[in-house]
Amino acid sequence: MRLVAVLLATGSLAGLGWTRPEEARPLADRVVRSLWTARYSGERTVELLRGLQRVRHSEIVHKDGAKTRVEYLAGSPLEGTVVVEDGRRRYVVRPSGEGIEEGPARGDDAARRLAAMLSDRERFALRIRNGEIVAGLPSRVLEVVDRRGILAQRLWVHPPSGVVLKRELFGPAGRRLGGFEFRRIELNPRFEPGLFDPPGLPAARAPVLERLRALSREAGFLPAHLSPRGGFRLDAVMVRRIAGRRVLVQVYRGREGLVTLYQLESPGERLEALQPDPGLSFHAWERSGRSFVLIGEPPAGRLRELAASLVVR
Amino acid sequence: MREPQRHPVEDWMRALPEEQPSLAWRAALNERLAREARRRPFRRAFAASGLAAAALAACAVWMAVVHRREGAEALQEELVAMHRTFELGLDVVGPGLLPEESAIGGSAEPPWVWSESDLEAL
Repeated sequence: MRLVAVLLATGSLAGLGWTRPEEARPLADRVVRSLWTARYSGERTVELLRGLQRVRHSEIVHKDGAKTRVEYLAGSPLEGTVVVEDGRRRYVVRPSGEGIEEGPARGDDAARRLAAMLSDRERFALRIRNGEIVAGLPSRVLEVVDRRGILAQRLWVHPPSGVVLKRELFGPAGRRLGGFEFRRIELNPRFEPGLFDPPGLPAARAPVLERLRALSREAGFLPAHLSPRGGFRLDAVMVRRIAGRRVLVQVYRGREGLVTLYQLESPGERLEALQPDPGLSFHAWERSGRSFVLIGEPPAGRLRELAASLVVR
Repeated sequence: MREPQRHPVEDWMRALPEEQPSLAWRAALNERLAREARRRPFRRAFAASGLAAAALAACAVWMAVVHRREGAEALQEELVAMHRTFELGLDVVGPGLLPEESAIGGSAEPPWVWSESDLEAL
């Protein structure tokens, strides 16, 4: 009887295509290596869940190790926009002819986050099975599952190169939040010279802090930002209308994760009295007649420290 | 038989002249009572309207507090949702642009929002 059960279980696992977990680790290591060494050019579709809606666009990605270049395809509102990372700095060239946006490279951070997840044997387990053909290449599916058995990520990996051909990310309850899929890809292509060079003249580049100051001036906000000594670097800045109010949004990245600083036009609701979202800390305060909110993974005490380091200039 | 003993005060009272109340005084009293009777509903109405106004003011204050709290909650939800999008977006797009970065200024909504039904139709 026991033998029959074992045979049935083995048969069902084989039917699903799952193989032994030990085989997953070498493939995960190959993925981590490829994040900094892979060379390819490809076209991919990116999808993100935003509220109840899914946001989708297509882009062409060239990658040469830590250097990347992303070009947005026709039909996208980002058409004509180009993002270049030379491994250290990031440049965004918009077709509108505005100044070239310059900031710290992002790709390294995303790669580090994925590498940390794949290497965290205490929090995550790996599963592996044979996958389908993606962008004309064979794949194996690597699943990252948390201790509770909830799927965190699913990667379709090209086994010889370790390149991730398709990726799906899931929320805390296992809901698919977003991902990408290559429609076509060429491994180890011959890149045009200068493809990853910083674009334009240095004088035409506007560092992110300068953009923050200009935007604050134009939109009537305080030119307030977190101190660069606090361990977080300003990554993106924008003005958005949120819940009917104009808000200056600043995204910061650091070793401790991502924090978002919001500056609201006028003090209003007492936000500090509200409960923070699970897994996130929340700190709100007022200064010079403005409301500020800081949200991020670091504990609330750390956010208060960052808030105290706010620089206005 | 001896007559019962009469008290001197009683005699004195009997000796007082009998006086009828003046009709003019009575009429004045009646008018005053009528005026008072007319004034009372007005006072009652005034008191009732004051109470209603106080209740309305209390309601308005309560509504404002609730509305303010709901506004704060809605705002916080939006702020948290946007932060979550950044977290997810940076993992997915890597060095590329986040949907929110389609323009530096502008509206909260990215210009290319697709619904589930749009995706199913693809």
